[in-house]
Amino acid sequence: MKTSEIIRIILCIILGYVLMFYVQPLIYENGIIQLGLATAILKQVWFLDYYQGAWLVFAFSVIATIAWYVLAAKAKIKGGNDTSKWSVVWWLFLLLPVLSTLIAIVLFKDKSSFISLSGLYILDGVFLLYWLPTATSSPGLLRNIPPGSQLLRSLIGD
Amino acid sequence: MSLYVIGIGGTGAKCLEAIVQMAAIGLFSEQPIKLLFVDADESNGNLERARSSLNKYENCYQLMSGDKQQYGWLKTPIESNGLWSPFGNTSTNKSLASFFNYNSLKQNNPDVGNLFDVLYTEEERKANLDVGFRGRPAIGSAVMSRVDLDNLDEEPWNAIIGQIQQDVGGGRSTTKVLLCGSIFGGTGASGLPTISRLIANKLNRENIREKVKIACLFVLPYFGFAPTGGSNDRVYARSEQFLLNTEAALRYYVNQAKMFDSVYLLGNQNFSRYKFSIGKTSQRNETHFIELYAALAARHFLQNTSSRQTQVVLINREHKGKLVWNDLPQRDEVKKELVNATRFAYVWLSNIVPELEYARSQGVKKAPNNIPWFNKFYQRGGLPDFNDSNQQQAIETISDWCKDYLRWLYDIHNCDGDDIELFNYKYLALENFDGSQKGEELSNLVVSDRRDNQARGGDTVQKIQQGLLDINRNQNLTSPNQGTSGLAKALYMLCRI
Repeated sequence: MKTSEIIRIILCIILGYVLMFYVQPLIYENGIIQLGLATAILKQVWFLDYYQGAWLVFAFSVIATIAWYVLAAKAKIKGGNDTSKWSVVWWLFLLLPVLSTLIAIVLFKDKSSFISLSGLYILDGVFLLYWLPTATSSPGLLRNIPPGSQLLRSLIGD
Repeated sequence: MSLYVIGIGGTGAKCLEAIVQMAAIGLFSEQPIKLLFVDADESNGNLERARSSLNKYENCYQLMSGDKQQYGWLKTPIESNGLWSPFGNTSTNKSLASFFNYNSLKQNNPDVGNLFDVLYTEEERKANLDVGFRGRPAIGSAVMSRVDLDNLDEEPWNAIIGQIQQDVGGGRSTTKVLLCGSIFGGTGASGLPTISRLIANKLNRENIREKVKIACLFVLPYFGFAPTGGSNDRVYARSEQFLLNTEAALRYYVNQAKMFDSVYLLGNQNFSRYKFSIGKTSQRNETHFIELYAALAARHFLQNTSSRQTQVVLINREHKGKLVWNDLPQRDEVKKELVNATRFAYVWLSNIVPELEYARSQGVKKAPNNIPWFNKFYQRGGLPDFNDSNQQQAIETISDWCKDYLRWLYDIHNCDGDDIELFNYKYLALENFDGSQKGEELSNLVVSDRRDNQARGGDTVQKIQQGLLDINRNQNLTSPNQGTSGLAKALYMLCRI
């Protein structure tokens, strides 16, 4: 485990948290994304559902990222054959943010915001909280398993 | 300082082979070693194997050009002066009778002819000597005594004496000449005293003898064999005579070894059993641990700057029948380099080569996904193309060296009659490197490994592969630092403990 990798993961989680719990609510509150609901209903009901779903996606995505990192750091690997098997594990962990997003959407009562919420939850959970930290910070010989990680790590000079 | 090493006969060739192996792992300096093989049996199996090892060394040495200071492997330039045979100018019948014109001798000078009859039996006179001197020093001495270095018109002696003159004239520090061979056999026993005397005389005449140190390395009897029946040829080496030959030779050297500045004697009480052979390719005796000592003696001679004439250095083993790390001279230095090279060869063959084969099967675009260190040495940002034939050839060249080194080391451990407890040699057998192993036994290679369990537990190929990812950044790898040679250099450095 490298300190730089752990720092990058923490930064991604903080970024995801700020986006999910501060920036995105502001987008809806200021009407940048129109929901067609009265302000009172928006504040009383809609945000309650939003935060519930956001916590679900956030928690599952962070768990998936940390679990991947810990397992990858402890993995016993002798060569490329072993490494390729771990790619299956990465895709399985991806199911956690995907499924949590689906559950959050299904549980959401206001079906009119389905499209925008799906987009934002997927952006947050799948990309920001799972793909980005794993692609920039997967440890050791599993560093290139997340798609796009080679390019991303060469861009950040790692 | 240059070191000239002349290996005489089959045992001499085996000593040169050991010197080549020890030079490869960095136990000699960056000063050149110049080798010459001397053998009447030009197709001798021991000689062939030694020359093959030298060839592999040279190929690998050329490949790994660049800064040698950083890692030590293959740092010694070895130049070969080839093979010299006392029958070099004799193309037809290589018998004693033919060599001395026995028939005309009998006719023109009957006294000498009759003396010849007394000294040599008819079988000895007629025996074909293209298989060497058949373990008979008396035959070898007669042939070798005809060598004439005075004229210096014969290669490679001409070149060697010229090189020594150049070295001495160039103001380099002392030039050293080491002659090695067996004291008990045919070619070595007869050639060593003759050739060393001729060289010493020649250097005396050139007034450079004082600037050249001459040493000899005699290998005392360390093996035996039983002749197989079926052949009518009755002139062959008899191992039961080895001790007698040795006793006589040692008596001779008490008074006649004045031309040597240093004398090394190596022997072993337990005789290994070898397969009987009169000579030619079938005379390919297994490597013996005594040859490791021969190489270390050459190293001692090179490094020794003492001018004392009567210095006696003794080394022996703690236990008869057993060889452990403590028995090696300059143990710490020697062990460090032996362990480093062995770990490298083991990891290269068991793990890196299969990984590179996997990369080939995956293709260069996909390979870095599963072998992340791949594009630290190949493809990316101007690094060499993995599919380039030079890179593929380099993989072969390094693998050839690794196999040859491990074969030599394995044979040393497998020698008959002694337990060699340096490495767990069963892991070094070449049949292990068929792809079934992936370097799992890396931490178990060394016998009496004193590292604690935690250190040994963390000593894995995975850690070494992870090291390949960061070595350029962490250790500022100098050239060669890319392609196959860069990979091998990085690996060699990472295998050091």
